[in-house]
Amino acid sequence: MAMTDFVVREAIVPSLTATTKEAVVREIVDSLRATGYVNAAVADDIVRQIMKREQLGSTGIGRGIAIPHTKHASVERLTGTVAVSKAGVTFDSIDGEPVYVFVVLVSPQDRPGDHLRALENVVRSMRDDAFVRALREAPDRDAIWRLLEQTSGM
Amino acid sequence: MYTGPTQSTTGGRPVSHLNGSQPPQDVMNGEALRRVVTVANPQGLHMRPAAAFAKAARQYQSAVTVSRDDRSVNGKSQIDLLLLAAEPGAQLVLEVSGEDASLALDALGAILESVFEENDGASPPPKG
Repeated sequence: MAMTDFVVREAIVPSLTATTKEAVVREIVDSLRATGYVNAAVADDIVRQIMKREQLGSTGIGRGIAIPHTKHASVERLTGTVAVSKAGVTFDSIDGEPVYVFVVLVSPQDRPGDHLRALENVVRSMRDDAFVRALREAPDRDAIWRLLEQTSGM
Repeated sequence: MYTGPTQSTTGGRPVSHLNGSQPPQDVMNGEALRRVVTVANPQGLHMRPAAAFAKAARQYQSAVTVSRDDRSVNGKSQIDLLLLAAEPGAQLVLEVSGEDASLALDALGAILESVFEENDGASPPPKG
């Protein structure tokens, strides 16, 4: 489950405009909705579910990275995308630092293995400081996609 | 600036005579305790159970290693644990070494062998 296996390329957000936790989640889910990978009728519910999950404990894993996620019956396969905030967003991360790189995951109900392998790959890629820095500095969607392709080949 | 190794007369090893007349410290640095555990949580070792495990592991002085096949990670790190992608039923080797190893082995083994509270956000799992 490489990042390019579940990231919707056209939904990548290279420079988020939102600046608060919920608004960021909404902007990213909106981007997925705009590509049709997330059904418009359930986009609001997905935002709600992701926020509900955040209340159980932030998915900000430190070093400027967060993995907001939820299961949702409306998706048939693991769907997600990557978004970057140039300014950084307060996200209650475990290290208290703002988040710059977001990887959103929406998983089908009964496929824990895919979700676990996606988490594994995100975490593995993000351990590389140079990769995280490159994502943050990437000028556009294509540049981010190329970085994801490179890391998927690892 | 790193300028190469500095000279050391002890090589970093403890030198017994420096302890003078003090009795040796009661440190059981002996062998590691291990246990094979099967991940019981129906959603596997995802972010929240990994966080809960790492938090519990950090309460022990002992070093905690969790392995799956040929991969070994630091059990005190949530992020490291996610690298195992341990799905329900996965067999993990829990290895603990240090003073409080046997306590840690029991408590941490039990976490992996238990079903993590999979509530849907109504309330956080009870502490303890």
